[in-house]
Amino acid sequence: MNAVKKFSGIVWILLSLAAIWFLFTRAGAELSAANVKPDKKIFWYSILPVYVPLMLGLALFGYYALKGEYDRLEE
Amino acid sequence: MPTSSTHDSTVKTGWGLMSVILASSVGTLIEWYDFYIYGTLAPYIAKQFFPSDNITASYLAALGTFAAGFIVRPFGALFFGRLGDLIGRKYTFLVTLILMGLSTFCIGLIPGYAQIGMFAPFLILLLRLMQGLALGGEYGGAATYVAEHAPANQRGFYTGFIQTTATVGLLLSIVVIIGTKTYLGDEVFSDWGWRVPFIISAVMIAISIYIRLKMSESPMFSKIKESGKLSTNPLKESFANRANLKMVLLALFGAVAGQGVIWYTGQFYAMSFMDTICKIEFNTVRWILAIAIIFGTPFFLVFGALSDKIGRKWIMMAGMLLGILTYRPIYSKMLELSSMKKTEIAEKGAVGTTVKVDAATGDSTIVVTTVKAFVDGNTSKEVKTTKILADKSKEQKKPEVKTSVWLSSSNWWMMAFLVFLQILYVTMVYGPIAAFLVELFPTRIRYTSMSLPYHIGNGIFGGLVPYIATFLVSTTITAQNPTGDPLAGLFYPMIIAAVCLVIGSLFLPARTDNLHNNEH
Repeated sequence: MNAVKKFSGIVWILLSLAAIWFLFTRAGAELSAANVKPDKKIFWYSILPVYVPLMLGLALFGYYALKGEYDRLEE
Repeated sequence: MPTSSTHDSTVKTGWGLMSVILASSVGTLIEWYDFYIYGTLAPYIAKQFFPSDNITASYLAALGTFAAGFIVRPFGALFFGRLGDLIGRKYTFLVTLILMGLSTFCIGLIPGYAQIGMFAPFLILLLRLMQGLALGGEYGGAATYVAEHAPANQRGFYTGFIQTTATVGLLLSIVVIIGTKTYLGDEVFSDWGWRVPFIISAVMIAISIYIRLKMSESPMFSKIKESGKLSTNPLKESFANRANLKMVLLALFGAVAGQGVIWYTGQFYAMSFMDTICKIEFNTVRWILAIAIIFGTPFFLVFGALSDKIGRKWIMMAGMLLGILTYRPIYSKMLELSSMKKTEIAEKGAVGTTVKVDAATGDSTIVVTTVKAFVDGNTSKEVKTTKILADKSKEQKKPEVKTSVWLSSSNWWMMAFLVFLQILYVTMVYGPIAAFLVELFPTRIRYTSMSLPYHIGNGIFGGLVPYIATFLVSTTITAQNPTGDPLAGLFYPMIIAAVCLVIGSLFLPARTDNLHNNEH
């Protein structure tokens, strides 16, 4: 089980990077369109500074998993 | 108050414990009520404070929705969580209650945009942010306070009472709003009646403050305070200490994020879906939700108690798995129940047209009302309003179409059952989560450490469900399919819940009630 946990750490790191890439490309496409509505601007300007650190948190979780920090949780 | 010893001499049982739970729960329930009435009454508030032709006001309206809903809550969690670990649970969640009460009461009193101009939207935004801050501080305090009074082997059951407050708060807000609207009538409610639910909150808050003032400090907190083991810097200990930070991350990605999306899908996206996609009539939607909540609420206690016996982890994971597997069939059925693409009963249908001409401008308004009856017993009413400007050089406005669907009795109950199923999943993930979070962190930094993942998971991952789901539906709109795929929005909660399910299943310990046994 510990080997699976460690391997999954790589998955969480890659997943977080993919999510960040998706957020930026999507926001870029939406905000560069003509006549962007205020609620859409607020949406993306709120989402990016909130979600990007969260995804970095997921990457950190993946790093800890990879390092085996969660192997003996009960102890 | 009678106290007895199970694991700890300070643990309460019987009526002593019930009074602690009721006193904590009433305040938390009122805070949820205060937070929800703003969301439910947002269209009325927008009309009075955020005129759509004013660009700054439109920005403020959107900011109020997003910022207070999810950005500010984690800050409230940090600010009040730190305070709660430094000076105590009792005084901190008393402050959050007062802050929430004052903000809510003031929202009900602020003059509109027509009276004080741009001050109005700024003041409303400020008060809404204060509501978000207060909510961010409240929940962690209440859950911690109850858990620290309860016997370790019944923490799930007793914190289950705190877990009911969010759902019952929503129910209370629905009942008060429907009651006020029915009593005053649509016109008066739209004019000033929407203020009533805000103002009567002051009475409820005053009672809650009185009750909370009579409460004593948490026994576990008092104990570590007496022994001089209080944290001097809870924020640093919670998030700069690697051993604790990894538990915060585990709580967030292995439990609370998934719990947040299941919760918001079951309660809020279901409501928004019935309103905007199924087009079911306003009051019908609220009653369906209310019935589902009434039948679903006892299960918070059932799953809380069950988690004391078999552990918190697998109950929460099962709730997420059920959501992932059944959301699409459930929402497909909801669409089918309210669909207007069914055989009509022609003799029960009717069409009426009224034309009004404004004597001053010469503009005319044509209102065409079409009533349809369907073979399954549903009825619908479509009101199409077309305004024709007398001045032909001006750009003519598009017609406004408002459709409402009334469900037949059997469809009504089937819809309520489908929403109830979703509430049941909510109770599975949310019932045990307070006890789980409390047990994951030590007493000295518990308030701070548990509040942040809770409000990120619920405020951000969960709170964004309606917005991201709507966004996902909009991405499927094409010229061939102008309404898009109405089920596309479900991918967001399903993906987050799936990631959380995998992380939780792999990483969470089967039992958390023994993690800090050597602490006391």
